[in-house]
Amino acid sequence: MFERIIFILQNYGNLFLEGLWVTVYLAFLTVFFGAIIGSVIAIIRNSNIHFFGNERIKPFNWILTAYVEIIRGTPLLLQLYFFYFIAPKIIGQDISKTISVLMALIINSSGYVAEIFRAGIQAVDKGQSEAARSLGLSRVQTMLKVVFPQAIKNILPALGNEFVMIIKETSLASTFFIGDIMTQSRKVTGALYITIEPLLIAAVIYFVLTFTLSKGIEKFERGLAESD
Amino acid sequence: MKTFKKITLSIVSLSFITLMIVSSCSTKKTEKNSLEKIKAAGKIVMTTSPDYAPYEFIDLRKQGQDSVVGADIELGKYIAKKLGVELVIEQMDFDSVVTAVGEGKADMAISGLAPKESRATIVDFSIPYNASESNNQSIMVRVKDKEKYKTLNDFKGVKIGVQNGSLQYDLTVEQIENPKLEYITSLATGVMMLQSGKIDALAITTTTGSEFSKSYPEVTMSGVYFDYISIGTIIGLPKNQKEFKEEVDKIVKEAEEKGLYQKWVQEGLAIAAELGENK
Repeated sequence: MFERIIFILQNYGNLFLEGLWVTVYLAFLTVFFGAIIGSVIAIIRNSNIHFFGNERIKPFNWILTAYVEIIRGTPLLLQLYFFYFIAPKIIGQDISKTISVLMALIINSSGYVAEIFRAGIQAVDKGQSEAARSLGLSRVQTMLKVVFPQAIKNILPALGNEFVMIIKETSLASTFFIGDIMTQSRKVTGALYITIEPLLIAAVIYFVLTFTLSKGIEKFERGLAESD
Repeated sequence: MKTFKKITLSIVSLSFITLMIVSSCSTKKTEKNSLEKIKAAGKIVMTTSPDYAPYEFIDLRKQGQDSVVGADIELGKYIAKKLGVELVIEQMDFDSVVTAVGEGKADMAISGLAPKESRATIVDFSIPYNASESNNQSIMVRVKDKEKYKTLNDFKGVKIGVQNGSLQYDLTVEQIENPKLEYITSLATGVMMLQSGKIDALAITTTTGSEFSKSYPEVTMSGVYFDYISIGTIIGLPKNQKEFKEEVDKIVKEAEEKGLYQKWVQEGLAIAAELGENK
């Protein structure tokens, strides 16, 4: 077994390095755009946009709630298939494989990030916004200048954890041979008919990657706590 | 009350999405002639699942599309060359290879596909290629159990691994009495399960099986064969594209007659052997 692992690493180690790069790259893009979309969703859901002068009619809120619930309530693998096979039919135009996979990952992540932001915003003491409002700040000003800067402190570590989660979730995208660590492992299996060893290599890479990252996030979190 | 509203909302929006999908799927677009479309675009898209040496696999030393090699890939290149267009290879899971052609995402599926009836509902078949005279569908077992299995009857009630939707699945269900089916997602997982005793047999083609047993000496081909003569493998083509099918059939026939396909298989075997040297 060890000889085979060494054989793979010596001859095809660069494949796994390439996979590592693709995985990190995919995860980064996913969380970056997921965070942008997710934060917008959270802010709109937290706002008071309503119609017909009735505070209970909030169509934006309804749609976004449904969006988040549907995304969080369906498996990522299904969403990948949806964006690859079904979405092109709905818009009537073909979408390339990379774009489909990225879209699925981003949309999926945005649902979770929206919840992270919502929790972060709600964790800020209500007195803060009440005080800001009574000092004459508008709703938008209160959100952007008082609540959000404090919420960020709760959000950032959770966002880091989401990044770690996404690194593992991208392995599902290997269904479409996207080039991540899992894809490389499958390539080796397909060509050499060796199964266990490439999987072990992939496992070690994933673990080292996620372990280092979560340790880094922990440290960062401690730094934030000290500044309180 | 709030959760109730949420539930209603989700249901309403879910059904809305389903409606959208169904309506978009059922709207019959004016079916264009595939052949003309391919020639106009200057490229032909083929789907394949590159985990099946020597037919389609990855040359681990190469990058990008050039890294996909094997006899089926050469066949794809040959078809593209004859049509005078560029070949684009889309790699994906074996499960999705045929679907992608049926859904119009690709022009042909070349991935060692057996001409199974269920596939005919989604795609049209080209004429078969790579027919083997010998019986090739067999069962893999652990070396220490090999003595136990002499005929198909000996597999009665044995836990046998089959890949969902594969030809071997059909054969197992038809020819083995009361089998304990264990579904596997890929042959590689199947071999692992066999090794670790999670299953006691694995339905597999002899060519692939012997490649695996080279890497894993604990498993071996049982020497018991299914009653099946292969008429070869086919290319999955879009439905009702007569001109395109005729063109592909002509090219496949030519490649077979010139003995090109067998030459490509040998080349594929050589590349696979090079990759695994000293493994």
